Amino acid sequence: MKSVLYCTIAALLGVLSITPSHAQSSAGQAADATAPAIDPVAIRQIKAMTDNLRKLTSFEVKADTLNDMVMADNQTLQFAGSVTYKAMVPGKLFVDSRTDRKQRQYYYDGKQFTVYAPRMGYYGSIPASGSLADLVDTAQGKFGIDLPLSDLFTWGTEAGQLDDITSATYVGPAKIGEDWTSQYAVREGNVDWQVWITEGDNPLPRKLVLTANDDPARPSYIATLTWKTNPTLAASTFTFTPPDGATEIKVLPASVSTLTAEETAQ
Amino acid sequence: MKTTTAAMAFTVLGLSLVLCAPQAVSPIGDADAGPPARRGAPHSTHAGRGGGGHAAPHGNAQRSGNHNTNVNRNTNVNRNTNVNVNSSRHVDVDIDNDHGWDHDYHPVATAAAVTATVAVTSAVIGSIVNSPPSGCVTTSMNGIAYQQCGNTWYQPQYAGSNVQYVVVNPPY
Repeated sequence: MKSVLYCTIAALLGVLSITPSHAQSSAGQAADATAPAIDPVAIRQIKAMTDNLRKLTSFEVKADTLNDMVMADNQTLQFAGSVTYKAMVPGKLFVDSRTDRKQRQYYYDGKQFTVYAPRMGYYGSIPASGSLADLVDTAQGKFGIDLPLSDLFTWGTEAGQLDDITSATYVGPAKIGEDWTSQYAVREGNVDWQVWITEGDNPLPRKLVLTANDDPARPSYIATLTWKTNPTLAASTFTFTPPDGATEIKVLPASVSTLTAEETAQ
Repeated sequence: MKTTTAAMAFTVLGLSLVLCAPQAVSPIGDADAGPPARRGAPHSTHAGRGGGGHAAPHGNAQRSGNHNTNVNRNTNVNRNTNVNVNSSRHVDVDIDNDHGWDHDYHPVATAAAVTATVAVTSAVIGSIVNSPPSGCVTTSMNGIAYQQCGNTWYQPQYAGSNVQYVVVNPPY
């Protein structure tokens, strides 16, 4: 009898002693929730992945994507797609992007960047040179062409620094397909992102989730990546040859787009 | 100030679209069908802000850098118009274009895009639409692609990765 009583008291004391410490830690977390939390280990692991990306001499990656679109009434719809990248360092790239709404192919042979809409049969070329990060910069900055998941080319370069990250934490292990990965949660500017990095000595982003944090609907872009590192890719992969029936149209430089808009208004 | 101008422009565009909105899906467009969208998800960790030497989209979008964004905004403009005017008929307008479906949006650029789109509705030479009306004929003359819609000729061009159409003089 006595021992039971003692146990009960001990258990109660245990509860009492545990409860405040839990309460304290939740309070602590609540207080920390607004403060930046950058786990240096998480940053180190992410950086190891971005550095590893830049060590690849060639790669082929297929991204299966889910893209949220927020409707005018704030309902969020999901659209599936895929993006296949074939890249050769320093400066050759082929992209095949297909979504439920839009198909585009991009070819970069180190001198020229071509965008092609297979269903419409229109293609346009612009001069471009340099690394894949340079290409991302030219295509986006000068011509307004956004390559999805351009981080794959800018991470580990000057253009893809991790300096603006305000929060980075390790979430835990996760299995994607047959691969064990580590999941990290990052907050950077207007984008909250998560990355699943494969374990081992060839760390690669196996999955990415990019969420707009500046919109109450919080639309996300989810990409699951399947990698082939250092494949042999034929040079012809990166050269655009117009198929029969394809017609060249011009690609407006970003500055001309604006001029056109202004002239049109007058 | 800008907001006011934009709002007025929306209205003008909205009214014009009521009159001119095409009723069917353009055969050459990428889009199948869909309700009006106001924005998409970011497609890179640096989306929606400066970084890596890109012009900062939120600060300078109308002056430098992300002009593609401006053009993409055309779509959003249409969508915003739909919001303001709010009639299910207007959904037709969006059905005809795929533009912006898989792009981000940046509200900063909206005003400029509106300006451009307003002129569209007057259908003058040099005006731009995201997709030609239905029933246009895809043709090519002297290596130049056109969409011929009765007496109106449109010339396609890439603005960013989207194809838009400029009203041009008939090639003959």
